[in-house]
Amino acid sequence: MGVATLAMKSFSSLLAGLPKAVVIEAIYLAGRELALETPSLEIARDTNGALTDDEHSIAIERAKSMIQEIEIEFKTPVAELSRKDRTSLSEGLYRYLRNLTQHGAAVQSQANTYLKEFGRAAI
Amino acid sequence: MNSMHKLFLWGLKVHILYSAGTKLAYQINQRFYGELHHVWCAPAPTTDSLVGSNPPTSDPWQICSDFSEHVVRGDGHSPLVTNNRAGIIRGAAARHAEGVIDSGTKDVIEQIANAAELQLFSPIFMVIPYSEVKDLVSPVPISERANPLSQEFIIPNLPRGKFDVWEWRR
Repeated sequence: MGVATLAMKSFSSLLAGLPKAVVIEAIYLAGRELALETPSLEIARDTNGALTDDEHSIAIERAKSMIQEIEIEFKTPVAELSRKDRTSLSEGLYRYLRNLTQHGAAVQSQANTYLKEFGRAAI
Repeated sequence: MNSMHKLFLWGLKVHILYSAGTKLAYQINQRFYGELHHVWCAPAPTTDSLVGSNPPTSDPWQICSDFSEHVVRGDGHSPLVTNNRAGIIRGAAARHAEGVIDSGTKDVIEQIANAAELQLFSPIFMVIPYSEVKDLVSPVPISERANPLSQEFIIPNLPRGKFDVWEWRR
């Protein structure tokens, strides 16, 4: 089993049972850390009306735990991960989020209509 | 009313704030959030090499450049693009909680973020005259900045009529 896969198993247990909005926030924060390569977990204190203060604290704490898990599994700080590992972990996190936010055919059809519109529209 | 009516960077008055985003996020704000945009922004970097400047992750010009590179390269798995999808989903949850959109619209936005093709993550560059937004701007607390010396601001609800936007072309 690859190191990224091991980390993902840990993520699943860290996120299990949390409200959807908390999971979204935690994944966003950890993913941001992977994307930007700089400590940024505090950034999402930027208003997010979807969460109470307590829920926000839980999301930050879980995101920090996910980052720590990565650093334990990979035996290196996140900032020093290879591009390949960063991409693999980011994809794994996003896969978890996508599974939470996939919808049925009717919603998919509406989304596709908007996507066509956005693709054509000038800004 | 925000108390910060005059914004100074290293003693110089700031006239313009800049922000970076993606075409997809822009279109969603326009279409679903009443043309209100939630933006992080920064002044232009100082030309004085003796004073600090924002780190690349808080520099709108650099952010645009990075998104452009990933889109041009066709890197659909880029962590930057992946995190933008997550950010759009997060934004929809926040706007739903604020009562701006209903749950059906939130679902559609989530699906849009999941299904959007890479080209919709092309960057946009926003130019925001400070005089237009002085009552809307909040400074990011020092503890929450990418760098304690960086100049970063949030405008939670920036109306479309108060900024110019460029599609970033390489």
